[in-house]
Amino acid sequence: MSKSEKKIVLKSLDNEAFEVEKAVALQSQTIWVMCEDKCVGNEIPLENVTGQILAKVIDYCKKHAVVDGDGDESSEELKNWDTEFTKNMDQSTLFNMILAANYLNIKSLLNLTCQAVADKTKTIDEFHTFLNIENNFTPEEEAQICQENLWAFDD
Amino acid sequence: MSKSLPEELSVEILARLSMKNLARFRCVCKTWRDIINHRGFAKRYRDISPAKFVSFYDKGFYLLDVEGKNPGITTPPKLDFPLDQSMIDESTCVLHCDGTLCVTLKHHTLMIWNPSSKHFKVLPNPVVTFTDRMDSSTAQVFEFKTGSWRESLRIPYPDWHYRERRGIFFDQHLYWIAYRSNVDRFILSFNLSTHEYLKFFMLNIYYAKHLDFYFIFFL
Repeated sequence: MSKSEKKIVLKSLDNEAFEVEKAVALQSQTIWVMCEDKCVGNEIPLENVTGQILAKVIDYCKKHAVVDGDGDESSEELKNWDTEFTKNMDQSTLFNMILAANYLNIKSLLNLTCQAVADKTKTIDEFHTFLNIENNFTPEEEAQICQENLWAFDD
Repeated sequence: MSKSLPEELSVEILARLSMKNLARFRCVCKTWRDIINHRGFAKRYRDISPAKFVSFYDKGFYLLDVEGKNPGITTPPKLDFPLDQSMIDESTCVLHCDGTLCVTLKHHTLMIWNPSSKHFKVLPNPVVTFTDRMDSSTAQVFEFKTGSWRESLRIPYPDWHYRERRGIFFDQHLYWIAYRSNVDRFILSFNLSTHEYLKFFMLNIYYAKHLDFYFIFFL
């Protein structure tokens, strides 16, 4: 595959600029649409993503662009890289990565980050960062639903 | 930036949780319970989760995990049967739909059981006269909404033979092959929502959009 020399600049919410190859950036459907529309120049402002998160997203896209380009690089290797990539992220980084992957519309990254949260979550409290919790059961409802799901609490 | 994820992203995370965590999370608040109990969620969950198979032999149910983290090299774990094991006998037959099993037990007892969520329900017997003739059969449809059996239409085309009396269930319809000879045959379908029978020439394909949790038996 011939390497596209064309580069574009992605600008984060906090005005950090990242110059990347177009092939890397185009894994984002959102950026792809923006480029297709030709409504932007060489610089694409991303209003919902901070520089810190964007840097990680670009790392991910670079890795995946290279592997896709080389065609047959082992998918096992890529899987391991993905695991390492999310392994040490804290909850709040993961939270922002999910929002970024969703906004930029990068399906595989959204999959990866959602799966990482699901795998890391052992208790309901850990999930607190992600979802609004408001216990609005009546005591009767709560007793009933806990009874129905008793098996899930037995360890 | 808001402090919690929009609902469609929360769903993406919940859909990747283990069944056990899901059952715990169902108890947290109404919003989560409603998301998890929603029919659309079950579909998303099935789409994402690795395929699992339940095998029934020697009067026991076993879980075969073929795509999961520990694919089935070891002995498959036996599932906890929620009722008395002696209810299972030689004539026990298992029907299934999207991971929910319908198990026929002794004394004409029927049980609907989801081994993953561990929910089960023993159905009351439909009050009917048992006959062994298809031509006098009436469909009985159990509706979970009302918790009761409803008598439906008589099966049309009584003078035909039907292969596999229990039929094939697919996307809200039951299908049978009706035949009188090798060339004289057609497909009969029964819509579980509208209770309508339809006749198809062989090789026609019929699509339906809504899926309801109904089961049907010819008695």
